[in-house]
Amino acid sequence: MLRILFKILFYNLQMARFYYALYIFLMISCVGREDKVQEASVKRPTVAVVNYPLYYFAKTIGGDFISVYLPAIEGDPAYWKPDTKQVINFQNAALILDNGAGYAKWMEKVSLPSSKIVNTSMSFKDQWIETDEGITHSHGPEGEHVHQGTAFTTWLNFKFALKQAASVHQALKNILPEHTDQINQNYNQLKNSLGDYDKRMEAIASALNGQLLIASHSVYQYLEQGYGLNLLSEHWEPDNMPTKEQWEAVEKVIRDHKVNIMIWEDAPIQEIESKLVDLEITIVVFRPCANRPETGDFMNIMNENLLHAERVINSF
Amino acid sequence: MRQSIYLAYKYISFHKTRSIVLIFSLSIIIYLPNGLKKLIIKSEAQMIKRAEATPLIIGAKGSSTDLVINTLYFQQEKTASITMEALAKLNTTGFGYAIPVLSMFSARNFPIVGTDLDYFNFRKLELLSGRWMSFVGECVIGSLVAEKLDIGVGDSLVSSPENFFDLAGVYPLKMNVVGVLEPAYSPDDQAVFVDIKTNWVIMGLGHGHEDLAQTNDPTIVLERESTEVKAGAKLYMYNTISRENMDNFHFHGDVSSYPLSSLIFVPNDHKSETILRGRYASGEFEEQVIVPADVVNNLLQRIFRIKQVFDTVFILVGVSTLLILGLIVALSVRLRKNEIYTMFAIGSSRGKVVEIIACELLILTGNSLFLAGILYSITGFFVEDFIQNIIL
Amino acid sequence: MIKLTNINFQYPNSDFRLTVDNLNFQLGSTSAIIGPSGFGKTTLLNLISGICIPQSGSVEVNDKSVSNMTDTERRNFRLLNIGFIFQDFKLLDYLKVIDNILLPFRINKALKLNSKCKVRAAELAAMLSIEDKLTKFPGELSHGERQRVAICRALLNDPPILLADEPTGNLDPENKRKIMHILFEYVQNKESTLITVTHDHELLKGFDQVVDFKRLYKN
Repeated sequence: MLRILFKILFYNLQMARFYYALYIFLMISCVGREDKVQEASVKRPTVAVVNYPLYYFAKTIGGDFISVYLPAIEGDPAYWKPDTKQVINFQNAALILDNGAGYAKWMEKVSLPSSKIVNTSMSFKDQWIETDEGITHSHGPEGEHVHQGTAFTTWLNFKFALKQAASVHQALKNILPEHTDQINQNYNQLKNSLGDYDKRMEAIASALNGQLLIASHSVYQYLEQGYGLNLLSEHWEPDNMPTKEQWEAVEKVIRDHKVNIMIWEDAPIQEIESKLVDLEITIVVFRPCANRPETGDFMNIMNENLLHAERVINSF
Repeated sequence: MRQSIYLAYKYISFHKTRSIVLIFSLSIIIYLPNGLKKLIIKSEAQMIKRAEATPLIIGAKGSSTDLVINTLYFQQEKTASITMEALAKLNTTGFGYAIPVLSMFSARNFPIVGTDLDYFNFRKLELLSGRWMSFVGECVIGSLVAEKLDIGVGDSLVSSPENFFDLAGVYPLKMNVVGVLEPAYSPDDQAVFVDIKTNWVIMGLGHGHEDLAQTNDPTIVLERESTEVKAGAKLYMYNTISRENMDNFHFHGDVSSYPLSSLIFVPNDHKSETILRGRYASGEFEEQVIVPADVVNNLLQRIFRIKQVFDTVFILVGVSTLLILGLIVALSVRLRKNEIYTMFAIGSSRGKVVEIIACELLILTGNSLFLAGILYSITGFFVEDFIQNIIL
Repeated sequence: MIKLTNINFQYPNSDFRLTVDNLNFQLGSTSAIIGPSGFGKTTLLNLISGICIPQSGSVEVNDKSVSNMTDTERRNFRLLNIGFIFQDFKLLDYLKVIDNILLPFRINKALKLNSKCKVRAAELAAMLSIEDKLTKFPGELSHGERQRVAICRALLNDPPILLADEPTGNLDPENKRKIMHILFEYVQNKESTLITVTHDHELLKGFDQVVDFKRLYKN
């Protein structure tokens, strides 16, 4: 009987050693797993944006704390249509920065988590400029209607660009509260730069003094609104020679209103430039920079735009 | 005792039909009150759990019960709607975030729930297959929808006309199934989730048709001027949204005026919730804010009262059944007089005969308890159906 | 010796009364009891086996008073000493033939069900030519087959006293002869006592004693 009891006790001791070793092993594994979890959380949150100005603002303010996603887009991002994979990238982002003012039409057709979307131009919604997008049409009992929209190149008014940057700043602070100080610092630098550009644009507008300008395309509504410019917009493309009728119409305007400046969103082809020079029109290239530039960044491009305009103004 | 059980078993298995009827009847009597009690307890727990997991519901003023039932269980009771403007206002408060819910239509008797992707995170729903909806016109279906309709990723589902006699009203929309959810054992299993914009398309607030500027069919274009085109009723409205025709879909009017059934609001913290509720109470907002747990607890208290009535009824039925069973046993003993006499004549005691009959009753009761136990154990699977069809 | 002395028996709630002054049966003998229906022949067998207890008088078997035993003693006495072949066989419909034969071993602790008695049951069944019916129910058997099952049950534990109530009733002459042959052979081999109630006068010549109830008793 004693021998049996002894055997049972001995067996239990052996098992006790095994359980202890198992416990130690599990503890080590858990520590290892915690490290991996911590490592995962160090990964930078992704901020998805709908155009290049917002890309620039987010990158400048967020710095290395974030990764900014703007898909490779040909042409104007306002008219871009994402594929499923790109929509999923937006869905998986920690923050989605929308330009607002109806910029990204594609957002009307996709599913995104609305808690992550920040409409960066919401703070000046009452100043969005309405446009008529197309031909009025009517069908069914609702009667006549036109698909109305809004002008969306809001950042061309540097005051609005400042507000959009402020919106980006707030949104980034919300997702990265631990980096508030650095984010604030980055934002203040951007704010100062945009403030300077706003002053320069005010000076240019003041020098123009209400003079009628022709714009190659209707993308400068907010520039016009923000700085009191007097713009008449055509529908000309920089790489496409206008028709004879289009030239005649513009020539009439030039004659009637003594116009001598035409703003282009990009440098027109030589043919167009020559004819405009013949008409004594000075070309000012003012790039909206909605998409990634081939060289430089947003502030470089805006600076170039302002320099062009200042040079032209000073030459008169 | 073993021999008594043997003889009892032989008797029962010889009279199979009678035994099965008795076992079945007894098991039903044993199961019903217990099963109902389990259903009610589990339903209560489930309803409370779902309600407590939903911090706040915002909706039009009116019946708070209907609002909660619509939002939590997609029952589509007739309630007034609110607008997207309410959502925009809430999102500017900084107190949390709002999730839109629009549930007015159905597809093959399953409610179509318009919402956005935040809903799935909020309810911690996972995908069994496929992906979340990316484009308008896509849908993600609950596990029971997939099972009952035998559809999955790649299939399509057509929304049902709201009113069969109003065929010119709401257009049925063919939706593409892009994802199937993991079973959640909640009303989410029986829903067809779409982006809220898809729901607006079904409502007719958005639609797609060929570009009238490009159309020359004289039977469609009634009148054309340089800035205006009038089309007739022949103009074909697309009934499905595809990558090819998506550009032709558009919404009319101001989106902020578009309807919602309700909003689920997820506050950042308790303080935010309290402040927000205070602001609603002060009349700052047109809508009402509801704490779903309060409404559901109220509803369940009503059910609890009904349950007490059921309990009383079951006790009476149980007593009656036991009396009837006793009568059956007594009559059975009388019918078996010869058999009992035989055993006595051969050398059995009265006690032995009683033991044999008791064993028969024991076997019958044991089987009944076993069957009742099986029914009781599977009762849990019917909780969701019970909530949807009986409680709500 | 089986002795019935000054028996006075009446069924409860019945006018029937059986009175027996003095009736003896030698152990190891065969006796036939004849008489019209309703004269108490079956009742007599019930009194001998202890199924019924007389209101007065005594029933003795081997100097043991059956009528004075306790219920348990009487049951055990019946189980161990009496093999009863009932007039209507009294087989249980829900038990197969083999279980009907083994029934006495299942209903009283005084008999132990073991492989020995199962073997004995199979032997009896073979002897009575019903070995291929062991897995059938009584409802599937003919009248004569059921009779033989009842006999197997009665003979299973080799009782010293065999009481047979109309064992050949409704049987054809060939089967009657066979049944009586089996009973007589058993009695001869086991030196048992056979008391048979019968209406068949053709069988009487084989018995050691014939008791004419009509002539002897006015009941």
